[in-house]
Amino acid sequence: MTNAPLLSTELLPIFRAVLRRDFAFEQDIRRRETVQWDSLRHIELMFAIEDHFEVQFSEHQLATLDSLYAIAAALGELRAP
Amino acid sequence: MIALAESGRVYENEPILFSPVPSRLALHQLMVLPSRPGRQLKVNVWRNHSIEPLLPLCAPYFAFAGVEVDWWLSAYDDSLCFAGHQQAALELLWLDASSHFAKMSDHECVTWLRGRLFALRRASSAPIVVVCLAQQVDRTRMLAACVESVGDAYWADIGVRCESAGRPVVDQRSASIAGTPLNARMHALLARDLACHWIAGAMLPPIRAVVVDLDNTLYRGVLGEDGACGVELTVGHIALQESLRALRAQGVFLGLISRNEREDVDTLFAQRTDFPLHLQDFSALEVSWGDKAAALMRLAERLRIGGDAILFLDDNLGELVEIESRLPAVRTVHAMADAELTARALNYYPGLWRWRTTAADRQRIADFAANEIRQSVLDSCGEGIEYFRNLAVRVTLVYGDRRQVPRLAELCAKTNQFNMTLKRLTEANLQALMADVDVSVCSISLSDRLTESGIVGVLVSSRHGNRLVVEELCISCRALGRRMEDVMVLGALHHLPTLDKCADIAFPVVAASRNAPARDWLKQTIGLPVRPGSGVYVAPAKLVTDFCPPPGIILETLL
Repeated sequence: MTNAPLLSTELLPIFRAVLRRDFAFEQDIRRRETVQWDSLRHIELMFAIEDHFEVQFSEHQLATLDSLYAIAAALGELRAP
Repeated sequence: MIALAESGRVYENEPILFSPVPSRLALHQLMVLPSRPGRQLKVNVWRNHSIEPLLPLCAPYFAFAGVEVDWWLSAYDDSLCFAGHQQAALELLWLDASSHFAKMSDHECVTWLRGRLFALRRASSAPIVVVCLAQQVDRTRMLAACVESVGDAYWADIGVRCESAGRPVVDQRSASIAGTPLNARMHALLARDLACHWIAGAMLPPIRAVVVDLDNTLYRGVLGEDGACGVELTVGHIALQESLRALRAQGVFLGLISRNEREDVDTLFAQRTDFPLHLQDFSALEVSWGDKAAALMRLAERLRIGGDAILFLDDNLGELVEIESRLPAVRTVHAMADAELTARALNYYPGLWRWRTTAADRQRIADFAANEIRQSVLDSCGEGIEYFRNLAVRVTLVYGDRRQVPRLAELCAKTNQFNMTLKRLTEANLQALMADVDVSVCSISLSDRLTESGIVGVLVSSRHGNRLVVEELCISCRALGRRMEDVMVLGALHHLPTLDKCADIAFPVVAASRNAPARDWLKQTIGLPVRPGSGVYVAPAKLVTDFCPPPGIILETLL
């Protein structure tokens, strides 16, 4: 079981800072529903997350992860012992 | 958040900006804070890979420097045809050599790049900075030499930077989404280098002096309480003092302002032989219990530099606020408890790092010290022949020497106080002017028994019918105050080949807050009733044709 809820809480400040929007807690953030989440901000978001959590997503993940919960789940797997 | 309401400068940001490896998230969080409006500069980016991931990370550093950059990004263009070029303050070439260059031999690569750089140089007189991802060491060296053979062009070595950070240059994993193979883990470090060194070093006016406080700045502790042997020199403070010494070697003045007893300060530096800094490393000292802002003003006047050429370090935020309020042009950095952080803030302060250190830069400190001796000679001999004979003053005028163009352009760019028209002629401008038969470009060098000051002035003149127009006149501040202004300027005009049969001489003036010394000289020389404002002031050519240098001064010319 991943600690996705905790990661969502840790991820939220990054989403807020990069996308420049005050998202509410406990709801998913989806790229297709967020006008600020364009291609440039997506790059910034993914790199900021990698930098903050000291992980590296795969090339496929970098291109396809498109929601807060999906990113949280992927992070959980990367950080699992 | 410690914010200064009026100026907007936020010292709490310094630990984020100058951490060993800046956090991408922390830099983003800084970007959402309001920043004070700054000086606006346009940068053209000619590229064949993406620079967009770095630009938001550069923004907090430019904001820290009080600069707003307007980026103009070209289309991705391997051929560098510079389509759509418009004037800008800086041309940045952002290149990935792995695509296009990889197909060329070394010779083809260098020949092609040189051709492209000269094409850009014909379109633009702005400084050119080339940042190139090139992984072959030998090719990198050849390309760097090629770039540096073009006037006012600079090669930024990404490979060396990545190596020092212990990180690979490329990461193909992110290349497709980011549009660049540049390793994302290097973006924040390279953004800092780009903003604070590579671009600032080419575009911003240089900082001429770093003025420091003592207590809890150069060491940990308070001299008056802990005594000379009780203050602690931490590893961080050693790094800070060594950084200051390195700056001094590059021609940056060091100044000291401290609320202490002078005797205690003398004892401190005499006893603490472990300090990298020595008392004689400081060109100016203000040690008293008085007002620091007033002390800083006196120090600036003594060094003959403006407030905007000074960076002040102090651990006391109240003192920094006071300086900001009363001397808003002075730059400030909070000397933090972690002195390594302060040392890094110093190393990255925009305007301190320069692409090149010239012989004139290295000579600056010695020149200033010599000025102090000249003043004592003046005090004992008085103005006149004995003063000049005592010092064995020599002025050398050289007309039209292209080898001197880099130094002359440096004078045009950096001189503020004795700069008549503020044209800021670049190397490209000067090269073009030298090719014009009706234009004369003269360098003015100064020496005496105390120092060889090198080239300290430039005079550019053009002939229009029977009128000689002084298009630009700059004299370095370290040549001022030696009673030599008349000899340098009138001597340079007197020996002009283009002076023949001129009836008058026109001095265009652009008035600014900093060039009062130049305008005062003009007022006195051609007999104006008041200090001239912007305009054109005409004097009869007789002023120059009849000029003869005072006895005791050797004036030589090389045509």
